[in-house]
This record gives sequence, structure tokens and C-alpha cells, in this order.
Amino acid sequence: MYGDLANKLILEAKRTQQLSQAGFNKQQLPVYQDELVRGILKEVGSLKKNVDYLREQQLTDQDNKVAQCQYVVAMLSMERNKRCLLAYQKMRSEMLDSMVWDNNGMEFSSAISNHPNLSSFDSSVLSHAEQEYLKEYAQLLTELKSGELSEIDLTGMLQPPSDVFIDVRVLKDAGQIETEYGVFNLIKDSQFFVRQSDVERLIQQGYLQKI
Amino acid sequence: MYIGIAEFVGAYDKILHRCSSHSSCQLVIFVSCLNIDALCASKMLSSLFKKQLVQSQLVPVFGYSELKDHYQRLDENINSVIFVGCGGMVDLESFLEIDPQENTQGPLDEIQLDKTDVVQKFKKEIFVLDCHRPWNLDNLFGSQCITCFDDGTVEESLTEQKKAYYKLIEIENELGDELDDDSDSEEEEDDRETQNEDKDDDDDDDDDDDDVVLGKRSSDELNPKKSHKQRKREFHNLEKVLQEYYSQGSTVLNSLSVQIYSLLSGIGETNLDYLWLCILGVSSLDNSFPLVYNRLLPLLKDEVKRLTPSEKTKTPDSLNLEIRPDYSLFLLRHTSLYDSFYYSNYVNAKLSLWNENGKKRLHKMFARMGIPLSVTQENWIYMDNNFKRDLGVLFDKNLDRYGLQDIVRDGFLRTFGYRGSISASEFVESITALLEVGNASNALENLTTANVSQKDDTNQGDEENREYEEAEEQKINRILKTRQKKWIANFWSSWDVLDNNMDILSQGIKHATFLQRSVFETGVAILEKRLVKHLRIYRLCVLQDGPDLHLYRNPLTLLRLGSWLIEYYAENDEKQLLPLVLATLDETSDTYLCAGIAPRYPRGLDILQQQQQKTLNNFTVAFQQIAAETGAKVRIDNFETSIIEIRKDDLQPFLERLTLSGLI
Repeated sequence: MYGDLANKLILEAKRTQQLSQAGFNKQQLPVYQDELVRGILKEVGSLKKNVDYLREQQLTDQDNKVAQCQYVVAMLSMERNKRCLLAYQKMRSEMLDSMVWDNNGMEFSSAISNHPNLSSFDSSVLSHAEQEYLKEYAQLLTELKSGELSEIDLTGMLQPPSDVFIDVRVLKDAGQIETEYGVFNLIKDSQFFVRQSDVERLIQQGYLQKI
Repeated sequence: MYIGIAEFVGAYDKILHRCSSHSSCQLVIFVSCLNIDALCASKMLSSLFKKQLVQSQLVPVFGYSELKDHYQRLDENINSVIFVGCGGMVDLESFLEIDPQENTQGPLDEIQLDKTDVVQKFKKEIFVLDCHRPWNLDNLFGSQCITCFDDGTVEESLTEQKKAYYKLIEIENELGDELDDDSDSEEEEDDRETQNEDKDDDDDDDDDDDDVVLGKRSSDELNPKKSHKQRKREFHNLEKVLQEYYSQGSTVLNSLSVQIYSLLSGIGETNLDYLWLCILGVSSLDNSFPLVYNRLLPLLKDEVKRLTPSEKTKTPDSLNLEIRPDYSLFLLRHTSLYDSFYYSNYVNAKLSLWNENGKKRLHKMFARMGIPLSVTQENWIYMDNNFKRDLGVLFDKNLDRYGLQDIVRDGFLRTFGYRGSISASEFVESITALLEVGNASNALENLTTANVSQKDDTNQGDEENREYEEAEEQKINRILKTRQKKWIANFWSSWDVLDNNMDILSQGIKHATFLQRSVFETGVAILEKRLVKHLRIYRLCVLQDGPDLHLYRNPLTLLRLGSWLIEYYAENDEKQLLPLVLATLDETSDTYLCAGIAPRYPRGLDILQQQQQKTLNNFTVAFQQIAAETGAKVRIDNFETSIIEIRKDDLQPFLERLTLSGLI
């Protein structure tokens, strides 16, 4: 049936979304469904042929209701496929965006361009176009940050903090870490009660866990 | 330096004053990680500091070496360090290699000093909260940068030692160099390694030797020889006083949580949550130090009465604390009636449940009470309500006959609104189990498959060792270290339980049931195989095999087994109360974990005995001395110094020496 493949794609998108919501694979997208997408495109192509044929017939025979109906159905299937493709792509690009923001733009783009293998992100799961997109988006972000808005920390938390001071637990041994505000002696499995603003970066980097 | 209870508030203000900078973290709290009392105390402390917005770091530590390690890596910013549940028994200044000169503030600050009083005198000031006795006298009287929180014992019972200590220093200063030989030995004594007691017997010989030395030197000295000799004698006498104090054996005399609580009442911060923590801390001592518990119980009851609102209505969101009859049964509200009797240390001791007769006696007892066995084996929640209601009466009528009347006593019950309620003793069981195995739901499976942790270790090892091969010894050290790290991680699950996290709590109760069951089984095996040897002055039990051997790598679990055994012997050996040495083999590191456990009076009797004699644990001193004498490979790292790790081959000679030494 027309639309079956697109349905699969949507299911895949949904699964991806659920995975990321559940907290798995924050840094990882599932593999780009290349074959599925191509299958859908093929389907669209054959639908297009049908539509072209039906339109020609319509020109000759204006009152053929059956042909008219056929035409509409084929058009709708085509439209639906297109919407599904777009939804899939939109979901992925949004996730890429958030990844770039999470990873603080600059570091991310350089990690991809310089050592694609070393970075924790596996760029092979992306399609070629997506890779391009990612690179350019990171570039954009970097420019935005280093430009007029360089004085604002755009990657900071959007929710206002509920407490000035928070409890954090150390997840990794890291010795002494110097921050803007002071030195932290990170001993695994110890707990700090400190100002949130001091340790926000360390939490993002995964050294600390907020309790 | 030491301070009495009345001065706690002053010390607290001092810490606040020193650490209230908002720009950096200046306060570090070290907590002994296998000690529930310390856990509760530090929880209270940290929430107190939190309220004052004092930035702090809290580091649980397993043993002395780790403590030292962490202490020495503290950065410059830190100006106050609090030790909770550790450090009271060692000379901290020399142990942590603190140089008093270096530690005082530089001259630049001296100008400020006048204004801010003497508060800022030291770069790092150390506060010791520790209830292990004997105190190290250097901490109490010698050092200026160490403040010991004392509960009045110093003023009450240490006046003689105090005098002796100051006098000693005086003489030492006077005689200066000549005492070099002696001051060496004094340092030794002040260290954890207290001297051999024979020394006291040989005192005269020593004096003679010293006289020779003196004789050589006195020709250059102005002082007449005679006064020297007198001084010398006095010196030795004074040393003996201190010596006696150190070698009398160790014990726990008070609860840390109560100390903190008295601080809290000093600053008027008491509330129900703090009181609950305090009660938990005290209850945790019930098992090994019933005297302390019994002494503090009335105080706690008064506090509960004071803080609990009188209205009796029960609403779904009430969080109150009540005094309720509690039973010395094992987790009655979370297992079945039968199991709670069966696995209780106390009932086992009274009825000898480990053999068939004991079991019959238990069945007969239930029969007398008129509770069918099938009902007793139902989970408490689903048990017939009529029985539950009458249980008090039934117990009253029937338990006397079996000598179990003390099963019912006053306890504390905390209600967490609609989330259920739990008694303090049950909560403590849960925390203990969490400290032992952690809160992961698969923790027990990991334990039961014995070697998982080992595998983990080797896996990690592979990663670390890609480049070099490692000597056997290092490997063992590493295994021990990872294990300790795991215990420290467990500390945090216990910490979270104190925030009344019911999920972890019930997990802990599950673990506790499992552990108690295996302790019971191991205990039965020990008694059946007659593994406990009576060695005239102590009992010895060496566990070399058994299905649950790996459980007893954890000191807490080992003590759990020890207390099961010792309570049994307290009731069943009429001749005399003997201490117990319990050693279990740890095959991964080829060592024995060896615990010396002080004898205990049978329950009920202990109150009568209280005035007469405290039960002291003499193994602390004995272990150290014998380890030094025999040169056995022993690691005395635990804050409970009566728990040591000893190499497999060294155990036999070590124990022989222990038997003969007459130290216990």
C-alpha cells in the first residue's frame, strides 16, 4: 500500500524521540534510515508518474469521476509521503541543533572536522546532507557567540535556578579543578554544598551530579 | 585543646566565622564511612551548615591511610576541617604531619589578628568529633589547632592524666636533650602504637640504663645529678599514668549524634528531623554498646515528648514521632512474626534456636500463645489483625516463662504520612544493610555470585595495566581499594535514606533480611561444627570456608556475625564472659579480616552491671602491640582499631602470641 514505508519512517522518528526523552543516547542519534527514505522517494516518483498520466486523461475526458478520484488519492498519498519525510528530517535536525547547543558549538564543530573518530559523536549515523547541516549550524552558533552577543553566555541554563546553593556529588576523580571562583578538590564520592553558578560548568562536563 | 558541651556553640560560631565566605569552599568534613552514628551526626551538621549557607565539602573515608591521603591534598583555601567519627584516638598533629609553625598565619595577618581576636590564628583548624575512647592526650592537651568536642569525660575522669601530661611536658622542656632517648619512646607511646606493657615491669632496668647515660652527660651539666635522678623517676611515673590510660582498652562512651544534638539545642535549632536523626544515631549503638543506648534513652524520650504536639489525630500527612513499645525482634513489621523471632539475635541467645530443641521451644511458645504456626509465618502486614492487637497481652503472659520478657521495650516510631511508618531500630537495620551492600537492586545477586566484584576488579585492572605488569601485592592493594571505594559509594545511599527516601529504605530492609539470614546460617554452621575454640582468655573463631564467606569481607557484616555469636555466648556460658576474636578468610587478597569483640553482659543484666564495670575492648591495644612484636603483616587501617587485616600465613603465630601475651 502507498504510505506504508512512510509510516515506518514515522515510527522510527517516534522511537528516536522516546529514546532521547528517556535519557539514553543523549549524544547519539540512531542511524539515518537511508534505505527507507530512498524507498519513499521511489514511491513518490511512481506516484508522480501516475498523477501525470491521470491528468492527461482528465484533459481529454472532463467528466470521468473515477479518474478524478484516482487523481486526488494519488496526490494525497504523495503529499502525505512528503509530510512524513519532512517530519522525520525536522525531528533529526532539531536533535542536531540541541546537540550543538549542548556541546557549546565551537568545540563540537572542531571535533567533527578535525578528528571525526576521536569525538564521542559518531558522524557516520548522519546522512551526507545532515553532516553538512551540522557543520554549518555549529559555525553559525560560533559566529553568533563570538559576535555581538559574546558577552552573554548563550549556553547557560534557561530555567532560573531555584536555589543559590546546591548539593552536588562528585562522579569522577579529577584532582584539583580551578574555576573562576575558587579551587575544587574533586574526590570521587564526596559531596559539595556550593554555589550553583560556580559549578554549573562542572555539572555540564559530567564531573558533578546535582542532588 | 578540648571543649565541654557548654562551649560547643562557641566552636560552632567560630567555624561559621571562619568559613562563611561565599566565594569559596573553606570547610571540609571527613566522615568515617562505616559508622551510622557518624553518618547521622554529619547529616545533622551538614544540614545545619547548609542553613547558614556555608559552602562545604563532605568526604566519607574508610580508614586512616585514606584520611591522611585526602587531608594532605587539601588546598590552601580550606581553613577548617571537621573529623566526624574518626581521629580521636591518634595524635593528629604527627599523623597528618602538620607543622605547627607552618600552620599559623603569616605575620601579615597578625595586624588583623588583634581585631578579630584569636579566631584566625591557624591556617587550618581541626575539629574532632569522636566518641571512641581513649582520647589521644596530645589532641586534648597538647595541640592548639586541634579542638576536640568532649562530653565532659575529660573534666570528670581525666584530671590525673591531664596533670601528668602537663607535668611531663614541663620536665621534658627542663631536661631537654637528655630525655632524647626517652622522648623517642614517648612519641612512640603517643602514637597509636602504645608501648609494650612489659616495659613497666622493666622500668627499673630502664632507669639504670638511663642513669648510665645521665652519668656520662651530667659532668657537663650544671644541675646536680640527684635532682636529675628524681626528675627521671617522676618522668617515668608520669609516663606510666598515661600508659595505663592508653592501655585500658577502647570503647564508645557517647553518641556523636547526641553531641551534635546538644550543640543544636545550644543554638536553639532543634526540631523533629534533627531529633529523628539523633535517635537513629543512638539506636545504632544499641547493638554493640547497649550501655550507651540505655543511658541516653531517657533523654531522647524527654526530647520526643517535648517536641511532639499532643494532638492524637492521625492525618495522612502527619510526620510525627512517637514513643511506642518496640521489640528486640528482627524487623517485625517487615517480615513474618516467625522469622522475626527466628532471626533475632536476642531470641536465639535465649532459646538456642540454632539446634532442634531450640526450634521446638519456639514452636511450643507460639502454641502457648495460641497463635497457629501458619499464621506466624504470614507476612506481618497480612497477619490476622486480632492476633496483632492482642500481641502485647500475649507477650506479657507468655514470654516470662522463656526469659524473653525484655523483648518488649520502649522504642521510637516515625510516621512518614501516607508513606508508612517505621521504628528507629528497623531504620537502623536498613541503613546498616545499605552500608554493607549498597542500594542497587542487584547488589545481592552480585554478592551471591561472589566473584563478580573480583571480575570487575580484574577488568579494571586490564585497562590500567595495558602497559605494565603489576606485582601481586599491588594488585591486592588495588582490589582492597576498589572494594573500599564501593563501600564509600554505599555511604551515599545510606545518606539518601536519611532524607526519608522510602524506595531505598525498603531496598535496605530487603538486604538486611538477606544478610541476617546468612549470618544466622553461618552462625548455625559455626556452632554445629564447633568452630569456636575456647582459649582460656578469649574465644577464637576462624572461618575458612562456607558459602557466604565473601559477605564477611565487610567489617560491618563481620561485626554482625560477631555480635550474633557473642550474644549467644553471653547467655549460654555461665562461667565467665570472654571476648571473641573472629577472623574470616578473604581469598582474593589472601588475608584474614580479623575482629576483636569485647564481651557483653546478657541483656537485662547489663543495667545491673553498669555501675560496676564498663566493658572495654582490649584488642585495640593488644593487636597493635603484637603486630609490632611479631612483625606480622598487619594492616590497621580501620577506625575501629579492633578490626585488622592480617596476611594468611601470619595469623597463626599472631594468635599464639595473643594467647600468651596476657594483654586481654
